[in-house]
Amino acid sequence: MKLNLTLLFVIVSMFASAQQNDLIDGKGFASCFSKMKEGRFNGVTNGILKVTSTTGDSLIVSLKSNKAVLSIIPDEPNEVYDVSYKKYEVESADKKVQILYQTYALANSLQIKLEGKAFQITGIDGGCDRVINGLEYEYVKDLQSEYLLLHFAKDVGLRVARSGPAPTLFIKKGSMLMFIISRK
Amino acid sequence: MDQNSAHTHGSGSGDTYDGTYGTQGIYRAVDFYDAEGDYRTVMGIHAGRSEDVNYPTFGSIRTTEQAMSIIQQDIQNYSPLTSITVTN
Repeated sequence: MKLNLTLLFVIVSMFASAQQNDLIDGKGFASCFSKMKEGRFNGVTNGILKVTSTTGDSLIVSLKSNKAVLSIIPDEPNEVYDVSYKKYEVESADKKVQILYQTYALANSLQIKLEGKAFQITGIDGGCDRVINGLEYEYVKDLQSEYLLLHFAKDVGLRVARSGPAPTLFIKKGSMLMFIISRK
Repeated sequence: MDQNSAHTHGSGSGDTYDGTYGTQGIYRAVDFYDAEGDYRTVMGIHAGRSEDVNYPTFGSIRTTEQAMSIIQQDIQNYSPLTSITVTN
C-alpha cells in the first residue's frame, strides 16, 4: 500500500512538472511596438508549420508573403499588467488555417484555428509573466519594418482553450514563422 | 510553483511599489481548474499598484507589501508555501 501511494505521488508529481514545463519565465519583448497603446500595422508572413494531432493527422501550413496584421489593442480601463495586447494574425491562402500570436506584459500565446476549431497555448493568464517553452522569438528592425522571427526549437503542444493540460495538437520542432510588419 | 521564494522579474518589469507586481515579485501556483471548470495558468499572489488591493488582476490575488513579507518570513521560519487560503 505504501509503495502504491509512493508510486502514485511520483506519477502525479511528474505529470504536474510536465504541465509547468509548457511555459517558462518571460523576459520581455524587444519590440518597437511594446509601449504602444493602440494601432494597426500591415505586413506579410513567411514560414512553414508542421502540425500533427494526437489522432495521427498531420498538416503542413506554408505561408509565402501572406497578408498579416499587427493589431495593438489597449488594455482598458486599467492596464492591468501592460498597456496593450499585441496581436499578430495571418491566415493560409485557402483560409482554412488562422494563426494568432500574441504578447502581453511578459507573456505570449499562440492560437491556431483549423477549419474553425481553435487550439492554443498561453501564458497570458494570471500574472502574465510566462512564455511558451520551445518557441524562440527575436525582433529585428530596419527603417521600414520590424521582423518578428518565431522558431520552434522543440515540439509545442496546443490544447482546446482552457480545457486542461493535455495537448491535442503539436507544432513540430523546426517549424518557423516570420512576421514582417511595416512600422508606418 | 514558487514555494520557497517569490519570483522576481528584473528591473523595468513591474517589480516596484506602484508597478504591476510590487517590490517583492509574485508567488505563482501550479496550474489548476477554477470554480467554473476552466483550466487556469500562472495564477499567483503579489502586491503592486501602490498596494491598492482592489486594483484588478487576471485572477491573481493582489495584496500588500507587508503581507508579501509575512509570507516570505513564514516560509523561512516554517516550511515552503503549499497553499493559500483567502478570507475576505
